[in-house]
Amino acid sequence: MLTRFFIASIRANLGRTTMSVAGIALGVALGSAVHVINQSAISEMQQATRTLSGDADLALRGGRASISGFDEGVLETLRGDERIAVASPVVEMNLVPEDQAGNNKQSIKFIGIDIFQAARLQPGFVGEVSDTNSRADRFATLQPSQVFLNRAAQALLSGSSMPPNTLTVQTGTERKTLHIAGKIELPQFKEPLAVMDIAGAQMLFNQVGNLSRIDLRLQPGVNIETLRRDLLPSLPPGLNLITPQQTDEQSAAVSRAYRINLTVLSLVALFTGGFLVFSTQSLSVVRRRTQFALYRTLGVTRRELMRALVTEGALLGAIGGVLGTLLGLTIATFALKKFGADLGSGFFAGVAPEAEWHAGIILFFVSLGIAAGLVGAWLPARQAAAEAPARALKANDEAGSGDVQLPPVWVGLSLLILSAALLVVPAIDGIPWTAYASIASMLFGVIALAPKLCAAALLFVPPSSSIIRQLAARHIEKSPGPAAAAITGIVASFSLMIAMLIMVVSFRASLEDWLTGVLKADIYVRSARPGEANAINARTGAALQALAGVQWADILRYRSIALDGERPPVTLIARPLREDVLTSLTMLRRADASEVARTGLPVIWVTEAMVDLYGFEAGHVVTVPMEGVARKLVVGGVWRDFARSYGAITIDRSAYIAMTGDTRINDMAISLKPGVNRADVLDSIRTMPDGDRLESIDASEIRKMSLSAFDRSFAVTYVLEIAAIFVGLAGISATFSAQAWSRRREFGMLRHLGVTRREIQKLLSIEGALLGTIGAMIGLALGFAIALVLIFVVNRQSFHWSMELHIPWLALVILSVTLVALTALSAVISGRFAVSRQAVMAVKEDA
Amino acid sequence: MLVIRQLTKRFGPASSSLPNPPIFENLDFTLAAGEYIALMGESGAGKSTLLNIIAGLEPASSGEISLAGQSLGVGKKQNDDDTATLFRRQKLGFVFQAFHLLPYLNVFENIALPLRLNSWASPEIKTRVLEMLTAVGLPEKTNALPRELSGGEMQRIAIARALAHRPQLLLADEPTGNLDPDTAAQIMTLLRTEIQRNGTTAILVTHSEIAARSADRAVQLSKRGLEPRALG
Repeated sequence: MLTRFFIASIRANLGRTTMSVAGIALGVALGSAVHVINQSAISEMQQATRTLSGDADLALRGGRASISGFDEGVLETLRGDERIAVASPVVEMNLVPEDQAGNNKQSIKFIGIDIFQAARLQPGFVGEVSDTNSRADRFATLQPSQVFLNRAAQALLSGSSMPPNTLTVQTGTERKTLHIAGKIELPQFKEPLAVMDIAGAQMLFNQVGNLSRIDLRLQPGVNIETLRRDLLPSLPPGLNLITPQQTDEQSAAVSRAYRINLTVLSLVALFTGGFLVFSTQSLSVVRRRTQFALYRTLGVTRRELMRALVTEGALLGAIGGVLGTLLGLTIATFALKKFGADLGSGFFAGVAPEAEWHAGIILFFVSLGIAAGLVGAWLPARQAAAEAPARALKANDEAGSGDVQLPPVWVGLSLLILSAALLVVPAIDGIPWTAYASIASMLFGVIALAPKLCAAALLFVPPSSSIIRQLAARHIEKSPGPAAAAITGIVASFSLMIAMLIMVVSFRASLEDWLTGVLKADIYVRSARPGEANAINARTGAALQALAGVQWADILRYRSIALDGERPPVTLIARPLREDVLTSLTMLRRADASEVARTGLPVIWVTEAMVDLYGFEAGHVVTVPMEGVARKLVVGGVWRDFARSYGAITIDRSAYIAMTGDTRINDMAISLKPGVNRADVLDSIRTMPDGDRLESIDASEIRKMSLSAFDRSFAVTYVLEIAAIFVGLAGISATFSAQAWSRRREFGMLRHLGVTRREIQKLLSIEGALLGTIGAMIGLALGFAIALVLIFVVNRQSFHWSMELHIPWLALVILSVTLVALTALSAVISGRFAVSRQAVMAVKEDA
Repeated sequence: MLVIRQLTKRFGPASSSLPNPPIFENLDFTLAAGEYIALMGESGAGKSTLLNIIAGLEPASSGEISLAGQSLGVGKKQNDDDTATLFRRQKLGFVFQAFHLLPYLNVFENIALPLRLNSWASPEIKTRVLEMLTAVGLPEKTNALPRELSGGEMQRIAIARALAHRPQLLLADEPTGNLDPDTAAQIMTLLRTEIQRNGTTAILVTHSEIAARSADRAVQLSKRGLEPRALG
């Protein structure tokens, strides 16, 4: 019987069934492609980290894996502990080699190691000497200027114009030439890699005495937790012992909120795909109403009928799920090959992994397709099963045909209350699951209340003397079920579109305001080869300050500080903090100045992430490790930062130097005297002695690049939104078709009474426009509410930054008018059956 | 007066190589103003098709029809369709077997529908609808919705709607097909009374001899054309 149901449904409704399957397939494809691309990137990054750590059980880390991590004196403490079998010190730095072929400058990861220790953890680090001059030297690896390259690095330099076996890099404003002594075989590490002796690396990076990390292997039987508990108190503050698994988690955590948000968004298309199944199945149920009644009369139970129809939906979902997953994997494979793993966020820029999936992913996304099909088919199936066969068989029962069973009001209200309650529940493990649940609950609550809201909205429709308009309004008013079925698709897709639009516009406007504040200077200068150690030297800094036309030139120093081994490090920014600089930061709240002064402690200004993740609230006295010393500081205020979602601390440079003695310079912010031409100053910088090793950029250029990066990162979301809207419109079209079919006798009767074809079309277009208007109004209100949740809860919990609400009124009006027009058009096109001869003859179907 | 001359209907072109016998051919028939006839015939004889052609809902293959001296178009073009539709709106009334009241309009609004389509003024509509409601014996059902009515009541309202705008011609297609014999008899009496009261010309399509007896005369549609039929 099931087969018969299914085949009959497909035959009668082939076009729409195909569209439902396509809707689900599209949603699943987008979701699976985004997931596979992100997951492959994460996996690639973790694989790289694990390859470099080899067989280490633990790693001692300071801030981010950077050369300024911590003092190497701690190595002796570790080597003195009998429980530690191997302690392998490492310095790491990404540098861009000069004279690469092509314009796309790619960096090489330089690793400085103690080969005798490192080889016990990762034998692949032992280089194979290929250079004939070096071959005679048994200790080539230990020579300070010798490097060994992996295949990717060799390939990168293959077109270089430099002399053979040499490699030139810039550190700070100095150029250094290294000798390529041979190659290393580390097939698991796919990015360009250069390995050298640690002493040479420390000299190369101007970081003698500093380490990025120490990889540790423990003696057999040593408990990691016990060792950690024993060792940590004796180590300088800010250092952490981290397992490779924790390192994996940390590297995934950086992009996790972004990845999850993108995946959830891509599943919006699947959600509207579920609505398409709902619309199609509703149409199918309406068309087969008499057939089902006959089956019921012949002895098919309600349960059997419902099960058959739900299975039918699940089968559509399964087909869509399988096709969608295949499509998604194809898209992911193609995109990774062609464009790499970066979907615009910059998290995975330069990472180009192979697409990686497993049976679990396929099963998950196929299951999502089935779930969408099941949910979409459930309500129409319930309606078909609940109908009294005698009523459906009774030919003149116009009222029952095409009706939709409405949920009671309390269901909608309860869902809205649940939605509000979920908003006060904090994020789970840093991900705003409860906020997402709140949005879903709000969406379903409003959809459940749609018939009541529809009826309420009709009270505001002005009375008309036109009988056609009266008929249209009266039909919607007295047929809340079909009207609700039509507008749920509109409400679902339109509200999500509006919510995303308001969120993106608010985000962009807030970002623009923020950029205006933070880019207070006219010109920014940094080393042409950026990196934490790539400092501008003091001589160049002074020369920049002394340039003609410069009003002030502020020195900026960036550091990474690990406050919590479980979380990515925070950024410390040391710069002169005059009142005008503080004002230019988007300061959200400030502590009472007199109370701050009373503490007598150096003042720091923190971002919202510091409040959310570490409780660094304005006025609090906090402890921050700097150069191995735990420093007590007071929080002067909280500012907004869209650049670093894991937290940043700003401190006055003089206070920073007093505590650390670190006078290095990463960037210079230069403000010009009034009337001075920026181009002239930029030229002056280029012609300075180190000018070719500096990168200077106009602030307006940075602003333009930042906004363009923002637009790029949201380009994927626009594509996903458009896909959702198209699926939503297809659902509307399916709903109107269903109604035109179920109302065929009504239209036939009206044609008998002398209503022209054009008037029937007008009736349909007015109904479509009315429903579109009501749907748009409800969608706007719901979209606005969802936008508030996205802006003030989801964003805050995901990225730990707030933003101002900006409403794009004009865009909302244009979108609403377009939606109403499209709905009216869709009603007329989908309802063309209403003016067909079949409809005229339908009055006799029962004769 | 309704005049039908040489009316032929076949589905598909006459020149088709496939056998395409006409449903009926060269029908000639005249119905006097105010006359009420019963149109009978076997299933498939073309009774409903003839009614549709008279109503302008279906084109004839050839022939002419005129009502009160006005020729009715039988073409397929949009203009013809609009003309035929407006003709139906003003001059025709319909009673269907399945009543076909609009489920979302109440009784008053259902009866008022043809009046509104014909742009009657509101006070006149009110007067006429109440008059028709009284005539069909359901004055108390003004605000009832169709689903609150019995089959007989729905058909009474359908008759009121069909005659409310005083059409020249009423076409009733098996109006008692869905009703029990007692109710059917009441409906036929009411139909006869209202047709006479409104001076309307009427064609009743029926298989029922009992129903046909309410008409002034009966005609049989068959392959031989339209012929008088004696009722037992």
